[in-house]
Amino acid sequence: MEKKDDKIMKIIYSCYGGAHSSIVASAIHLGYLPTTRIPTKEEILNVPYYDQSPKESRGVPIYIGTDEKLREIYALGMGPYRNEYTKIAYNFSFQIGKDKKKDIQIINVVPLLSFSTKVGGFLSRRLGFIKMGRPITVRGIQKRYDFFIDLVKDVKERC
Amino acid sequence: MKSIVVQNLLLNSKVFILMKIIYLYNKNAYAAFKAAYAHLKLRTYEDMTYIKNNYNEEGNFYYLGTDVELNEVYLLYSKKNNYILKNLLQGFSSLYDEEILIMDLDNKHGKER
Repeated sequence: MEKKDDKIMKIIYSCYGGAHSSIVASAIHLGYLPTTRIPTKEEILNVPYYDQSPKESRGVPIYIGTDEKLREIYALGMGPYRNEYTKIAYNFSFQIGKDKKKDIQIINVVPLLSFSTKVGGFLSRRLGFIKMGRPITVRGIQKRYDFFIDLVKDVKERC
Repeated sequence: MKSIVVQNLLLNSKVFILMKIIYLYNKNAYAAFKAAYAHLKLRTYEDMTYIKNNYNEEGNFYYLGTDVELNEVYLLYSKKNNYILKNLLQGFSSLYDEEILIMDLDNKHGKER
């Protein structure tokens, strides 16, 4: 009889820095952010890890939570070499997970980034101008929020 | 008598922490190849063409063998060899509760020492 915990799905939302779009997508997936309306600035800023990840933590999967179907949700920043590292991540997971029958899905959230979020993220994370950059990232997330909702819905259905 | 036998068994036994050892390289394929084979105590090919043709595909882990402590030894070539890749490997191994050791053959800090 197959044990339930033999196949634990891991869903990893990946973006550039692991600080904005991947965090928001993970939060929507877990219900920390609403799916029927655009969240307020305070709701987005209160999401754990939002606009917090330093450059040095890129590549480290951040555990955000476990959803209602016991899928583990992570956020991950992969920098500019996302395509290569996604391939490496899958290959590595298949190498080390072969005996444990675990599944992993890496979802690229970068196409949902708006210009505002990119600029705000650069100001906040790269230059350290947090008070200036952070509100700009929030506006960028709010502009594209519907796309985030659609993405998460699609992921929940497929995975 | 039994307790002496058990004691001897415990003293002689070694606990192996099975891990994956990854030789990571960007430019110095030959050094990585040599290092990995030295680790495994195997004879190496001296033909560089063989190495260039067979170990230059990015993203693919090349399994070379298992060492005396039962650790798996791999080669990994990456065009972009930096801290993100190392974080990725360490992070994903922790997702599966696996131990890995990354040997970076192109570590620039090594040259500065």
